[in-house]
Amino acid sequence: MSLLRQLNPDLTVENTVMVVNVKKQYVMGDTTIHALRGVTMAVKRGTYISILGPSGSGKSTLFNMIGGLDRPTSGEVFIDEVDIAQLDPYELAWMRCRKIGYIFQSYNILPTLTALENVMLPMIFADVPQEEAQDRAKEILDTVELGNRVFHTPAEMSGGQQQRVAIARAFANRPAIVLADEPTANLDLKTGKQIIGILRDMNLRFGVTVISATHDHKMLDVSDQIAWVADGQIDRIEERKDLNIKVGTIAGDEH
Amino acid sequence: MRTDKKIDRIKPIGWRTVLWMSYNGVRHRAGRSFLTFLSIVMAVAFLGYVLIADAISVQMKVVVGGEPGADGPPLMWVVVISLGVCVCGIANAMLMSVTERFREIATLKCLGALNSVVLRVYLLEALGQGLLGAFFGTLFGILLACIIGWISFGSDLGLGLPWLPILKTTGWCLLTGIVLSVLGALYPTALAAKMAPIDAMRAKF
Repeated sequence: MSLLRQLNPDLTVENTVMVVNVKKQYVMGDTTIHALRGVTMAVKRGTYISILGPSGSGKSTLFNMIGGLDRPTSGEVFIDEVDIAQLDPYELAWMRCRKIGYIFQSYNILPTLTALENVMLPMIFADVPQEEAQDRAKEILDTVELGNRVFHTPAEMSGGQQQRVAIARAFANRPAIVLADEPTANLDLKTGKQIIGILRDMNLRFGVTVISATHDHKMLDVSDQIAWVADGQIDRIEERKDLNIKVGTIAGDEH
Repeated sequence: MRTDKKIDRIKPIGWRTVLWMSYNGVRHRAGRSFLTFLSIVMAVAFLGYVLIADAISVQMKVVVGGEPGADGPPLMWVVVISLGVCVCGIANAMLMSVTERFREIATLKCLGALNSVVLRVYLLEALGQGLLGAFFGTLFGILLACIIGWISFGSDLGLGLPWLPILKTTGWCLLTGIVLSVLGALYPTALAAKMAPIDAMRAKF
């Protein structure tokens, strides 16, 4: 946390995300599936938190609740102290545009647009003037080391490059939180490490809270906190400094 | 540009941006999903051909001699069925095209697009695709009918290509292609625009 404060001296510690007794049930035929059984957690601004859990644990469901992609059956989710379930469509769209950035496993960048246009899009939705949006998009693409590929379309890029465009897009409007859903799942080891490094760098540089749902244990090393989810509830939340993890390297592949 | 506001209402994006996105979509898809585009062309071409081939044969009967309108009722059914083929073909093509884009639509909503924005962008795209497809289909269908008419009737055709029917058919074919493209895309697009992003990502209906 001290490095974060050094880079962002006027950062005030507050709860960017608050999940209060959130429950989610699905009815499938005759059975009711309890995906979340009452989850309560708070995430402080600027934290890099990873949500880990096996398939079916409710990790993805919790993640979707926080991101406003899905609604809980009961309970509240607050982003920057705003209850997202109470928002009308215009407010929800504003929230998604200005306060939340999304990164997906399958990148989800628009194939009809260039890298530059993809990163400009959230800024255009935020009513940023064309020129300013273009300049900032170029700047942020430079930060993720794609400065020489701004006019390329997704078809002309590798998976890792596409994910970097997605990351640049997610941070474009300086959101309060960035949600990354299995960002490295479709990438090889080396590219995955690169992406994780970029995410951590952006987290520290802009003081943006990063919440990541992941299987990838390489992510553990850069996280401030780790939330373990099992059976629809939070099992425990650990601080990185309390964990003893050694991340290995594959011989011959180090740069 | 981090905002200090807790909450606000988004301003819907202007028509210029919507047009820009739709234009990119059509340009991209005219190349990528040529088959979708082609099915619009062929359906409209079929309609155009049937109408003009009939108009030519009617004209020839008048010019060369015979009773015009002797093929009345059966031809009307051919036209009806050909329109039915058009509807099915175009609707199927548009449905396929939109379903492929569900993930894209969900992504746009995550970036802050309103339902109305999504609707506008994708319907304009369908309109553009329909316009392009209808244009080439009309050209192709009418041209083919005239060529075959020339082959069948030789130089007699020079005595009078049925210009008025050609003009009217052009109008009908263009209209059919455009209207059917938009109608075919309307239902799936409206569905996708209203879906919660999570369901659109999983492509659940």
